[in-house]
Amino acid sequence: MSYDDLRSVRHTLTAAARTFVPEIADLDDDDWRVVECDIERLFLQRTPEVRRQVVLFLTALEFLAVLRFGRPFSHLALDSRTRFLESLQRSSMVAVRRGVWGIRTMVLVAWYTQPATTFAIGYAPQFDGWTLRRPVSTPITSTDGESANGAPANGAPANGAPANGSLANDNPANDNPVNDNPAHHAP
Amino acid sequence: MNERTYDVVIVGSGAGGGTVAQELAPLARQGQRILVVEQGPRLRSFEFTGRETDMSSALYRDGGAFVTADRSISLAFAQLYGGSTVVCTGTSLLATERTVSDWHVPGLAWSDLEWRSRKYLEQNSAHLIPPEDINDNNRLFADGARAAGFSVEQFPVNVSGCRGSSLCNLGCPNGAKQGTHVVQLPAAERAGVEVVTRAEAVRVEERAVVVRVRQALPGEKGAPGEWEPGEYRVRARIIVLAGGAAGTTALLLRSPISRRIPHIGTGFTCHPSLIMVAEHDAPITNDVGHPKSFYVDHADAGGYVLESCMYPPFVVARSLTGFGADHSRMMHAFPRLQMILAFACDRTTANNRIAVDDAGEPVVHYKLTPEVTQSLAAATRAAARIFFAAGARRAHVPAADPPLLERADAARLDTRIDASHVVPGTTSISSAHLMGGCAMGPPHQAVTDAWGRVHGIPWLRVADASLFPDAARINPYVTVMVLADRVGEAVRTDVGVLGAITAR
Repeated sequence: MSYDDLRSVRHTLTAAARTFVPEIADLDDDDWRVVECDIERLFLQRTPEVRRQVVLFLTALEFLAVLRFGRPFSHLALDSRTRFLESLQRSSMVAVRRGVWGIRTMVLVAWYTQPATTFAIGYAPQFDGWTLRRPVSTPITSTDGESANGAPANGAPANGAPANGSLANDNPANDNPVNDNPAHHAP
Repeated sequence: MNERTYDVVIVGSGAGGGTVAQELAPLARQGQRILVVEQGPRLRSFEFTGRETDMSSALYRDGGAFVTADRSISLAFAQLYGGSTVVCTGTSLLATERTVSDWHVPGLAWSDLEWRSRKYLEQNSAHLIPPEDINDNNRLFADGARAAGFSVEQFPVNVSGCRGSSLCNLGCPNGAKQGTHVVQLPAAERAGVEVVTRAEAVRVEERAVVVRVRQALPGEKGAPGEWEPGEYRVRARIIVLAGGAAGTTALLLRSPISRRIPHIGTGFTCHPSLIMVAEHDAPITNDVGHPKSFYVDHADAGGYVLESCMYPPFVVARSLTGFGADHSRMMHAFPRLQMILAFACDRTTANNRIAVDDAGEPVVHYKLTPEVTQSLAAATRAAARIFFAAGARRAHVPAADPPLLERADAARLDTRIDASHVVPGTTSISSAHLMGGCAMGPPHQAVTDAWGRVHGIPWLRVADASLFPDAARINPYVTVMVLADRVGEAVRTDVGVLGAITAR
């Protein structure tokens, strides 16, 4: 069960990914391809048996939707896809539940390891953590995650760039541990 | 096949193998040949980038995607020089006297473990993080737990020179964590113990281990392997297995010698865990500082332990129940999220065990018992009380349906949170504490004695978490080290006796 097998169900996978993570629907083809490549990488890390089950589940998902909605899963509107996946997630059959769980996990892991995504949600660990970011004991903030001075209150700089800080470890390649923010897509 | 001969071979380099290696350093200084074989690579300091994608792949078995046979629980354990001591948060506690007493292992006294643990707590620089370096996420846990009426304790952690990157679970990028890769293994190597990485133990034969050394893949992290790629039969007077609960058990099960060892694979426990998050009105410091400072020990009273914790977004995302807009909104609150890990103190059952598949790879059969789901529900109620006592606006807990609890729900947690909502295949359950499979105990019911000697096979020893006859009921790495310390002591004593049986 290879990479090509996953590609054979890519329309279903794309539709499922857009259901699990609404922001994915806003990506252009190139940006989605970046995420899709990461899903494929995660797929290839699975055992052959799990890979077989992933492809089988996506194939079944496409056609089970025909029975319920009269259209394949990948042709359904977001609302129908959401209701359908939610119903499968509550199935009495553990194989069905774990099928949803397995696809969902791959999509979420691929999405939430994208540097642009982690940057967008405000996750910004730094090698020199405390040197750069002392706790704000009583932050004066609005609820949209910005402090009164306009900087994200988690300590990243106000200009929106990742806080590089002094990466004093011995890695010449260490620009920033997480947020190298290629901005290749805006989640 | 290449042939090599040593006095002692140790399989694995984590909390167990690293400790035994250090404890056998005096033998190495006396000229005895000691070898450690490690399946994973030896990462260089600059390769700890903190980036989730490449570190997960480099550190964890199956990139962190190893799951139970029914795919309902993800099991995290590391495979590299230093094993899981590279990726744990360094919480340094010994199993309690009651736990060790409940194990009923003849010849194993908690007082002996406690005495030995002092050496490792000192060696590993275990200490309490000072208040000024405790982040808001941890502080809110402690404050909320106290306000909710719980007794809160602080973890000693094994860090030295911690700069607060918060990236413990991806391997400390600053080399602050005092795992075996920093403390015990380098000390052993300085004394002459040989460590070979990228070397997988394929099977155990009579006084020998067959090892397959592989080449680094293109782009793979880690220093080049010490031996040329190929298969080696490594003969030794004593063989110590310390590849972790899954690794050691699977190695034995795929070896013909397993026919002489009843009870292998039984008695598996794993502290099934839930990760819960709560949203505060204002941002808190959560992705800076040590991620895990405090805990509430309700192992005896409720069968669970709660810990403050912090995980990167991809772990949090998959731990939340559900998907879509609500899920996304919670993730976008990341700078305002407080997190709590709850694990159930599961007990051994007849069906929870480690087996191997046709390829000899480990397969973990594990079902949640009703007691465990009740414990997880009780832990979830306690966590929710802590969240709201700490001032959280809403909490996301997988043992509620729907999983989002608003502050107004705080008064009816007992009805909102129920064990029936802990559903395998829907609820994200994980574990990082794999235990059992080669348990200590009397010959009629266990694999080894209290010193890790496999019953009936004097040259074969076990020195890792597979020795646990039941769950540790607390983070296990210090308990593994003190058990391995005993194994090392027994090997030092026995190697002379077994010296009469020279390696062939």
